[in-house]
Amino acid sequence: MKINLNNLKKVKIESVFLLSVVFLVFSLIYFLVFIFDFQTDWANYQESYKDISSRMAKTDQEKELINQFEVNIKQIHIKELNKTDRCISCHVSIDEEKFKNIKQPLTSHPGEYLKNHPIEKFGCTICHGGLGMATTTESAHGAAEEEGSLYPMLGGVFIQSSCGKCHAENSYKETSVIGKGKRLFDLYGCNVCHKLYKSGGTAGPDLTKIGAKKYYDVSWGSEYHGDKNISEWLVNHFENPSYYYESKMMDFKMNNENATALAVYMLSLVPEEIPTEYVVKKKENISEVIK
Amino acid sequence: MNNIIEKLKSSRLAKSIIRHGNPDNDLDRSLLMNNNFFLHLHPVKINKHGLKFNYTFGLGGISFFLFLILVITGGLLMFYYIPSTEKAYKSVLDIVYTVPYGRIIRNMHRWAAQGMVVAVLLHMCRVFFTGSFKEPREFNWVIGVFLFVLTLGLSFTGYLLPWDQLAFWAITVGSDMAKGVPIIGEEVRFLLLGGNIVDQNALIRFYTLHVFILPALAVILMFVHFWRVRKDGGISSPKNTYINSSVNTEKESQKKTYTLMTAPKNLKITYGTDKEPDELVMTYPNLLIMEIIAGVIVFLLLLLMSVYFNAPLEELANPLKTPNPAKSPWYFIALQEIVSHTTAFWGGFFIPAAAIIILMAVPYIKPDHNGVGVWFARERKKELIVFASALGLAILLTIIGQYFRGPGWSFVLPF
Repeated sequence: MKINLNNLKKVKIESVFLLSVVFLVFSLIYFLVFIFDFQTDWANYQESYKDISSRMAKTDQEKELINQFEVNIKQIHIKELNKTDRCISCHVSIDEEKFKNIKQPLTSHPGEYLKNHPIEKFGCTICHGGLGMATTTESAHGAAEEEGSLYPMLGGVFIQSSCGKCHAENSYKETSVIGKGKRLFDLYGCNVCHKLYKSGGTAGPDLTKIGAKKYYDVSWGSEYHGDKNISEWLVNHFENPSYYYESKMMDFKMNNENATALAVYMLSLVPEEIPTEYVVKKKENISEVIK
Repeated sequence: MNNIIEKLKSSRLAKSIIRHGNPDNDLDRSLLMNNNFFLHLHPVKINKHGLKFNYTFGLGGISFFLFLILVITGGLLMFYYIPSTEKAYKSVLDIVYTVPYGRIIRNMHRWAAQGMVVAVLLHMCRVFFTGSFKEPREFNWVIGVFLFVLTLGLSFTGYLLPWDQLAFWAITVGSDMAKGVPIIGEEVRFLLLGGNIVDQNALIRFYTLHVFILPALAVILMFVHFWRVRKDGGISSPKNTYINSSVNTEKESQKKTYTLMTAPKNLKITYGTDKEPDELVMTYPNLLIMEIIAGVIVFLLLLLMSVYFNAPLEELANPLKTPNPAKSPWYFIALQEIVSHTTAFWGGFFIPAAAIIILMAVPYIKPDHNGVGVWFARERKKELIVFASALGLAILLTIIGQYFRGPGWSFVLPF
């Protein structure tokens, strides 16, 4: 940048002109920032929730309730679990059954789970994972990071690993996969080489807190360059221990189904301290489990 | 409309704030500088040479502007941030996800801090490569080195505050290097952390240093730094040469009372006089306009960057889970790289201490006036090569440490 000083002197830029240029530039910046940062998804979703509910409302009382609905960040704070979940800022109608046919994020929770697990007591992330304090879709669902997610959400059968945090035995049909994983752990004799809690061998790594491992805690080898997802890593590792790198682990020639079941069980082994009132004691029939 | 503006202009309130007329003539332009706070920063007339953008690249001013942004955004962040190991991380998540514009303000603070380290370093390089540290500016160079160390200290103490894995382990590694101080190494680290491990005590110490002690020191030194620039004859230039005539000025000074407008002693060009009118131009509008434009551009770039790039935030700090490799902040990574090859004594104490002492001693080692005000002057070839190779080595070590070091500090390729 070269400024001809003599010219500058001749032009005599008036301070008013200068100030207006500065003012224009700043208002443009502010406008851009406003667009990018103030138009949040959760506010839009809550607006459409308001629209849909007012159309659904039949009695005056219901309409009155919807009119009182305020658009703001909503959160469930559970002191016992040390969690603050803001998921309901977008999934605002998660516990309203009449929303079951409305598309995401306003769909109500499928199944009967919320009856036994009221969201006021459990929140969302204790089962689903993700970053509860986040208010953007990417961050909350753990998709914001490029390489791998620090707070991945548990999808598909992997969500059963969360059941294992509180339920000691798993004989419900909804938790058959983690139950199978537990049985496979004994069947393959993983305990011979790996320590779990206080017992087990020392040839392999300790598995007591394996579920808390993040994508960067495991080796991905030099060949792999895709999305780094810890549950995917576990499945591939069990199917073929040397899938990512040369591993010392024994190859059990597991099929995908068994590998997945075992991976689900592994992911349930987290050091999270669950308050005793949340823990469900053994009440299932053992003989039923072995089937 | 014009009437109203005229009336407003001549009102007592306006007169009490703006004490000069429309700055469309040189008298009012001098009054604009003279009757305002600006006189503390700039003289009424400045050297034409110092106005060339490709001479200074505005780096000192940009550093100061970034510091101002850091003070403002930092103040805003302080409304929400809680310096407790229990709540620090959650309060940062709250700032990012629930405070309106919180994400952008945090990003601006982060990127401005990194930018300030870079700008201050480049500013130091500019001063060295143009020989601007030479007499009479030697002491200002020493103050500048202090300010550089303070900038690193400010950035380092701020690094811990989010209390995530990145912060925790960078500070653990960084403070471990303090053990390299001979004999009292453990005590130095203990003093810094308020304990043997990075914990609540360390967090509150770093917080206090970051928001009060270091900024206060930096502000005081900045005032002295700017004041000295002005007193030592503004931006250095080849024509603005130093003449050793202290005897005469001593005598003269006893006869004459000087004002703020006084020209710096011992300089050929005297300010406010018409001795060499071609060399001097009015500060307003020439310099002030450039400063405003530079400020707007820096602010614009910083804001756009903050909209698109989020400051890193990893998971909650976990003292039981060490990332491998654990890396210090990037501006200390060259030292970490040295530690990995030698011992903590060399990388953590000897080399940084020696570097700082040598930097401060630079103007006194070779007291000449060769090549002042010229980029890469030929007659300064030797000193330029020494400085440039030391700088190049530091950059090389930083790049190796940052991108080519994997688990166990082993050599890996970055992709």
